[in-house]
Parts: sequence; C-alpha cells; structure tokens
Amino acid sequence: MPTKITTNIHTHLFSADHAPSAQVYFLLRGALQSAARRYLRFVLDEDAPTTVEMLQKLDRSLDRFEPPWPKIFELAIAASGLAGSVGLIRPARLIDMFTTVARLNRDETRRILGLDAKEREADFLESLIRRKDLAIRAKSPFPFQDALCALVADLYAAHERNAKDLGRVSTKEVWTRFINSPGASQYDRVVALSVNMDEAFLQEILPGLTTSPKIDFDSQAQELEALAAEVTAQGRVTLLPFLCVEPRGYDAGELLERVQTRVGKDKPWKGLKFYPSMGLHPADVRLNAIFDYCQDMSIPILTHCSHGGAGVRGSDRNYGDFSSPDEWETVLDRLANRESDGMFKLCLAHFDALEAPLDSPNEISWSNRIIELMAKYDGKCGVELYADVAFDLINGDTDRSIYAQNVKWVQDRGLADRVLFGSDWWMYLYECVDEQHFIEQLSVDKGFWKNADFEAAAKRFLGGM
Amino acid sequence: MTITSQPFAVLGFCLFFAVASRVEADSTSSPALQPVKAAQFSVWPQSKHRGQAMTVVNEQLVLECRAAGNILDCSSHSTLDVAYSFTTPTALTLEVADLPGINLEVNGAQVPLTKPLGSLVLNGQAEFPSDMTRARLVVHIPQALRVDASPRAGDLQLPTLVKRHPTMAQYPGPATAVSVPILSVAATLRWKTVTRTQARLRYPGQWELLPSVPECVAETPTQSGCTHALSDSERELVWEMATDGTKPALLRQEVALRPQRSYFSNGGLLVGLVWGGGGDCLGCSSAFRGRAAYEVGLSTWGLLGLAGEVAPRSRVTVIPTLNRVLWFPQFFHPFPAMAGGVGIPVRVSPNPMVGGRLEASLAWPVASLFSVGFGGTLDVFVTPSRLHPEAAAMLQFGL
Repeated sequence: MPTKITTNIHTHLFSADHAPSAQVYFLLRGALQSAARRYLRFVLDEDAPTTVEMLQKLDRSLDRFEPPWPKIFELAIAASGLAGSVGLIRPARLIDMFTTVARLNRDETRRILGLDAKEREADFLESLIRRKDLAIRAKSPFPFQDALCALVADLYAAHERNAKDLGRVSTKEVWTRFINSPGASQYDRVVALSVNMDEAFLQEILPGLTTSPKIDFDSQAQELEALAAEVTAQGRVTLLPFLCVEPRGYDAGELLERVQTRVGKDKPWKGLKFYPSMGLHPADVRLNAIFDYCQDMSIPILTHCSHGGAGVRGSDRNYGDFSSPDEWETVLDRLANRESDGMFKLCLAHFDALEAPLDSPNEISWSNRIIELMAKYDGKCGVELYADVAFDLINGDTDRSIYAQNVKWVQDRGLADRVLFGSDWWMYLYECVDEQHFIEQLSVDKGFWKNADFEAAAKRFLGGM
Repeated sequence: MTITSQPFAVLGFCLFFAVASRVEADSTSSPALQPVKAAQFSVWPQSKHRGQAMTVVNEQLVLECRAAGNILDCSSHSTLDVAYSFTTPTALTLEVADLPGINLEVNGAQVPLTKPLGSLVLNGQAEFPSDMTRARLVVHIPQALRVDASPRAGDLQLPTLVKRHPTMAQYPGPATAVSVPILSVAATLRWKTVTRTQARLRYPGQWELLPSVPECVAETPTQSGCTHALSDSERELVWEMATDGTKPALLRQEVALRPQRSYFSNGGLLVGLVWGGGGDCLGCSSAFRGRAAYEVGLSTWGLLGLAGEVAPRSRVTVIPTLNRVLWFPQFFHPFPAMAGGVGIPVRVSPNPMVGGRLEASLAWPVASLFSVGFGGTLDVFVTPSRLHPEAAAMLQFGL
C-alpha cells in the first residue's frame, strides 16, 4: 500500500562549478527550446507528423538563428506585454536557478542580463538579440549559439568577481539548500547522482565557452564522497552517491579497477550513473566487465533515458539518441544469458517524460519501449529493469489526463512495483517548484501514482542500502 | 494542422502568422554536412594515464580543401613527433576518428584499425620499443571534412523562387559562410603535453576569408604567429605556436570561409494561359492568349523575368518583368508563394507599341514537381491619342 515517500532516487548535488558555463548554457538553451515548443504546440496539432518534424527542425535551427526564430523572438518581445500569456521564457526563474546553483549575485545577474526590477522577459530577449546582432555583424555561422555563449561568458565573468568574496559554491552548500527545501525533510534516503562532463567538454560541445571544467570530475567526486560520508554519519539521512562512468580516456582494465575499488554496498559509492547523451555508448565493450561486476554484486545503475537534459548536442555532433532504451538491448541480452548469482538492476530514468499517449504508436517517445523492456526484463533472468518519474509533470501545460492514462497503462501491466520516485533536484529549479511539488503531484494520496508503492520499489532497487 | 480551441491559441496563431508572413530568408543558413573538430584529425592514446609518459614535441596539421560548387571538401595530414621513455617494450592502444579512408602509421608502419562495439572511435595497437625514445605518428584522412556553403533559407520554409519552380530553381541568396575548425591535438588532453604545433589551411582562390576571422590567438605561448598567403589559385593560412612545455601548445581557431557568388540564381520556366485584356487590337473583346516566361532570382528578394504572350491571331507581346517576392514558412502549406511587380509590355505585332504593367501572382508547389499559380496583370499602353488600360487574369504552371 502507498506510504509516505522517504526515498528520492534521483537528485543532483554536484556544484555547478563542475562545468558552470555548460550548465547555464544548457539551461538557457533548454528553456528557450522548451518554451518555443510549448508555444508552437499551442497553435498546432501536437500529434500531426508535420508538427513533430517541424519541432525537430526548429530545434536544429536555433543555433544558427534561422527562420522562423528571428520572428519568434520578434513575436515574443511584442507579446511579452500581454499578461505573460504567450510568454516565451521565465527570466525570474532562470535567474533563481543561476543564483542557486552557481552562486551568481542576483543584482549583478540582472544588470548583465539587462533586466529591470520587473524582470520583463522582453528585456531579457532583447539582451540576447543584441548579442546575436553582434555575432551576425561578425559573420558568425552560428549567431544565436554565439549570443548564448557571450551571455554565459558575461554571467561567469560576474561569477568570478563574486567568487572572490564568496568562495566557490560547495557540494555541501547545495545539499543544505536541498534538504531544507519544502518537502525534502521527509526523505531518509537520497541518491545523489554525479555527472561527468569532462569528455563532453573535450568534444567542444560549446564553442566559445571555457574549454575545460573549473573542477574536473575526480575533484567533484571526492567532494561528493566526503559529503555522503558526513551526512550519513549524522544518522538522519542516508546519502547514497552514484558514480558517473565515463569510459573515454581509460582502457578496460583501468575502468574496471576504478569501479571495483570504489563502488559496492560497503564502499563509498553505492551505485553507478550513466549519461549516454554525453557521448558514451552503453554497448562500449570497455563497459562489459563493469556490467558483469554490477550484476554479480547486484549494484544498482541509473541511466539518463529522456530526450531532454544535457548532452553533446552541438552543431556537428548529436548523441541524444545514445540515451534511447534501444541502445541498452545488446547489453541486457548478454547479461540475461550470463551465469550470475546476482542481479543486474538498471533504472531507465525519467520514463522519457511519460507524456505521449501509450495506447497508440509513437515514433518519437521512448516510453513505450521502456515499458516493453521492463516487461521483458523482470528479474527472472538476472536482469531487472526499473524506471523513475524524475522531472515528470514539471511543465504546467503537460496534459494531465494523458499522464493519468499512461500511469494506469503502466499499472495495468503490473510494472508499478518497479517505478521509482525521484525529483531531479536541482535541474527543475528554473520552473520554480520544489520537492513538495513532486511529492504532491506524483504520489501518495492525491497524486497520479497513488497506487504505486515507491518505497517498496526503492528498497528492491537499492537492495536494502 | 488544426487550431486548438483555446482563445490564446487563436491569438497566438494570428500573431505568429502576421509576423511569419514577413519572414525573409536569413543569410546565415546551415550547411547540409557538418564538420568534425580538427583535433579529431590526429591520434591520441586511449588511456590518458599511459599518455602521461609521452610528450608531443612537434605537431603538424595540414588541411587541404578543394571546392566543388558550394561544397568544400578537405583532406587532412597530421604528423606527431612523440618523445617517450619506456623501460620495457610497451604496446599502446591508440585512438583515431572514425572517418572514411583514415590511415595511421607509426614509425612508417601502417597500423591496422578496428572499431570496437559501441565505440565512437577506431582503435589501433602500436609497439613502442624501449631502445628508442622517439616515434613519429602520421594520420592521413582523404575525406576529413566536408562543409556546404549553399545558400538556403531556413529548414522551415521554401523561398518563393523554389516554390514557383520546384524542379529547376536553385536556392537564391548569398552563399553561406561555413566554419572550418582548427584545433590542435592538445585539446584531447591525452598526451602529457604538446610543446610545438603548426597548422596549415589551404583553400581555393575563389573562396573568401570572412573578416571576422580572429588574429592568431595563442594560449600560453612562448612564441606564436600566423601568416595568410594569397595566390590566384590557392590561399593558405598558417598558425604556429611553441611553449616551454609547462602548458600545452593549443591552437583553437574557427575559420569562416565563403565562396564568391553571383547575385543571380537560376529560377525556371512558366507556361500558362492569359484571359482578358483585349484581342488583336486595342479595345477588342477579351480573348485567351498563350504565355511562357523564364525567371531568375535576384538575391533573396526578387525575380527577373522575360515573358512572351501570343494570341491565336498573331498578337505577340514580349514583357520583361521585375517582381518583389514575399516569403512564407513552408509549414503554412495553404499559403502560396507570392510575388508582385512591374513590367514593360512590348507589343511586337500587329501594331508595335510599348506600355507599362503591374502584376501580382500566387503559386503553390505540387509534390515538389511543378507549381500551379494564378495572377493578374494591368497593362497600360500608350498611343498618341490616349492611354489604353487592359486587365487580364493568368493561370500558369512552373517547372
């Protein structure tokens, strides 16, 4: 039976200083794309194939600021006075996110973005357009990308100035902000996912931005490891860090050694995190020995499985589809036919938003495929698939009736006992919600997953940790 | 496409349409084929831990580009002189980009390359003897980079010229600038350091370097410089950098190139019927005439045409025309390509005379094969006694 949620399986505690400009760039770009999509869906038939194709083209055309983006911006600026009803983005929320995760000074940020006290979105957009015009005058092939990069660079110049006085934002400070946020006090187990962007930076996903992280992944990992030990020792909350695996830069032996020495029930790291859209493929042969180890030791793994999020999505490379559940199939098949006393436990995070209707074919959404694989790999053959609902229903305009039907679809197939609760903190902050938002919307008495037992699923996934 | 029932949707649709109907082609359109980064034209150790025992003392990268129309095809040749010190013979896994025809040599011997499952790069195994301290690694890629500078409107719309002439037209407008990346191997962070690097970019003389190209920007160099050599047939940019080894010599440039291009672009043929505007003589009753025209594009904004109209009883008129085009996003299929402009009708027979014309036309592309269009003309012929206005309607098909 449903109980109070005490386990959050999906949070991010790493400091944005790991890759600050990348984080802000992704946030800005993601917010703009998401809002433009929202707007166009508003006026077009969402299910029409031409609409899907158009939205994909729209995404591709942003960096070069191709039509119709100039006119979308023109329209957004013109419409920004209409009570925000057709607003493109929400600057106040973006600023809240910058200042929270990167400790930017709010006043300084407003000044750089050209915002007045009312934080009118038109000012924000015009600030971007001014930079875009400069890029076009410089004959840039990617004027909007350059404009965003310039904005981010300006923001971080301000960050640097502030950092002299404030010091670098630490993982512990991010944790404090999280655990004190509304709703978070009811958790007694929290999974903290690390994210490795080092190699993604090397591939120049963001031309014009800094070329190396301010803090490399190993330094970030040390900080998170120490925090987990400290928080868990205090006794109130068990903080379970998941180590992000990045095979590039290592041979197979080095990779296995890194994982074997650090990850396990009695080791500092309790599970693994994969972020395939950063440019690492789940079928990379160097990962085989790691997967064997995880299966033998029943170590839980969480992988990003959504069309959204960060990743290498530059103008010349796009590894977004590496996060598709299909890319895991060869790995799962091999492990299902392998002799092991343990269990390979993999969570396909986000359920790919679970917002497209499941009762009809959909070539874009991965949700149906996730459900198929969950049904196939139910634990009987040494492989057990899970999904989590982190970031679901983040947008106010997500169709709640379709989401409710999809939840019923999952429950009718007997898969709800492998659906995990997660919130995706701090990725959602630009939408200005908090932990309570997810707890209320997704679960317990009045939420969409009111018949799901998230706690039992978490216990099964984490194996008693 | 359907419009939802929400009132804001209607408002949004109207606003969007009102704005989108004025969309002009943007000169910053996208190449169809995208470049990879130049650091990928070189070679690096799979393990950064093992790479810490090896220093690149000299890197030379040559990108040689040839043009075929608006496409720039570049081959690359990268040479690394590596210093190392191993106490025992050491086998290293090296990585190179997965590009067609790529060839890796270590000390003159070709290294077989394989692509492990799930890998984005190719792997090669090379022996580094302990009785040597230097090795030369050479990577040659015949098709390293392809960029397309063809002028295009955005992905989301068709220019009027292409809507009117789906089979024959080129995309109008100035050529796009393309970006050629110059990024030295230090960017991979797999070698201990890189102390000297040189990059050369050779490109055809009929391509131009955009003025936005930055000067040689050196990151922590002890010495650096660049030159830009020009000749009629080929141009060459050279960057050089050396450091004391405490920080790697890292070259990072994005070079913007553009083909020099004509203001005109090919359009296509129009054939059709004209009804009205008089018969064989001024003031005669309305009649059908046959019409044929050929149009070319003027940058992104105009159409220059020459039309001939022939009536059954030998009335022949030749009309040079100039039209301004309007643009619509492609996804608004019900909305046609629109053009409006002026012309000079020259009556050749039976009674030679000259006048002025105002015309406007609409065209819808049909399955990217041809277009169907309607239009209207208003001719005013001048005779010594008076002005003779003639109005007519057109039905025309475009190829």
